[in-house]
Amino acid sequence: MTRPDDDMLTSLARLAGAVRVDPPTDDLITDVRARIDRLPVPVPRSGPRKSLNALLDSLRRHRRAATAVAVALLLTLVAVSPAGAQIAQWLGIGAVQIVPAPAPPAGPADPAAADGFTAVDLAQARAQTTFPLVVPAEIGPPSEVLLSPGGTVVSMVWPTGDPAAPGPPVRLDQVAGQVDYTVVKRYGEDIDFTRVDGADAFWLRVPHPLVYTDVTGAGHTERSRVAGPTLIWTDGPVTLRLEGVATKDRAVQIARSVG
Amino acid sequence: MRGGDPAAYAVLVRRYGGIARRTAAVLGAGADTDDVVQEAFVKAYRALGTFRDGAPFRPWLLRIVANETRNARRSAGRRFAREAAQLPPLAATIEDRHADLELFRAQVEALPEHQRLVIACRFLLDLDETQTAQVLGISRGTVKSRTYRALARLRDSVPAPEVTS
Repeated sequence: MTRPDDDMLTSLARLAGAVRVDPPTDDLITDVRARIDRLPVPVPRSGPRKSLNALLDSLRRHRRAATAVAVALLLTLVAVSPAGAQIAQWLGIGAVQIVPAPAPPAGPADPAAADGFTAVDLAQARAQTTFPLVVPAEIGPPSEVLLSPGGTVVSMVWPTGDPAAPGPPVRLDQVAGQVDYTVVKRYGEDIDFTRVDGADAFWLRVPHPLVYTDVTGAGHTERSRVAGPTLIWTDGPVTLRLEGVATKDRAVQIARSVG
Repeated sequence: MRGGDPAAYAVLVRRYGGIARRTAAVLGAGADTDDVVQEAFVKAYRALGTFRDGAPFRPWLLRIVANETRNARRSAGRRFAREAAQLPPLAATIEDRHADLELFRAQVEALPEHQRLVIACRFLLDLDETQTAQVLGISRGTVKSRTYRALARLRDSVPAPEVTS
């Protein structure tokens, strides 16, 4: 027994499927870019004001806020502007979320730090993950393979760094899924926006705090450490982060060699 | 000089350009669709500072697109008197059942403006009641009642197109 509305809803669904709207051309990005490049970088304002007192209060807060921003800019030239932080928060990449944070604590970044991960071999890692693991041809097989406490992140480590330019360790994290497991990057510096094989990628060029958050069901584990320069990109359903390669161009080259 | 923010924003424009353009077109921007979308992205950028922390970008952008579409239609109205709210053309692949779908499309276009917008959001953009309320700047209750009245009106206007499975 069908209700009259069922036909109506079916018609609407058919209409929705038949209504054709072309995607925007590249001109949209070019034109918007040309217009916003001439605008000042937007600065957050406080919320709605209800009374004269609230207005005065808000003006006072504004003055303080402006001072804080200026001081912060003097202290650290690479601080992300509040608007930049707002944009980055909407962006994210795959399973990686980027949130504004204070400048990272001092101390060297150590890509090999294990964060409670357990050492396995490549075959064991492949057997315990539901997504295909990749190895970048540019740097060959990893010396160490580590599995996260929940089994949702696989880390590969090259302790002597990039064979083309030996140095500090290089680490490649691979994460599947976009909801259950989130790698949260906290940053206090600028980000470069780049591409890896057509997918958006972020290059974080200076050390930043890195937090792994496992939010699956009842469990919640968090491991935090300082991460070095990092490239983040996605390959289908898998999010990858490559840490420890000195330059963006080389990191992108390595990222393109996964297969 | 840093240019991080416009570069970051360009990623957002690439990511949300498609849904923004579909929204403008389906809400009736017609020939002004590209202008509406460009204007909406620029306005959104200028207003970035007004965001509540943690607010999602998409519904807010689409609300700006809806407002810009309304502005464009108003100014088109001044230029060309009353202009019908044209939905985008239908894909050419529907073939045999095209005629009744065209008829149905005309019925949707003929709905009163406030009902047409709700129908477009709910069924052509596949937004839920909460999202529709956000995009159109009305309450959820209003979304419900306008949807109900619009469906009743469509049902009464002409027999619904034949659906075969």
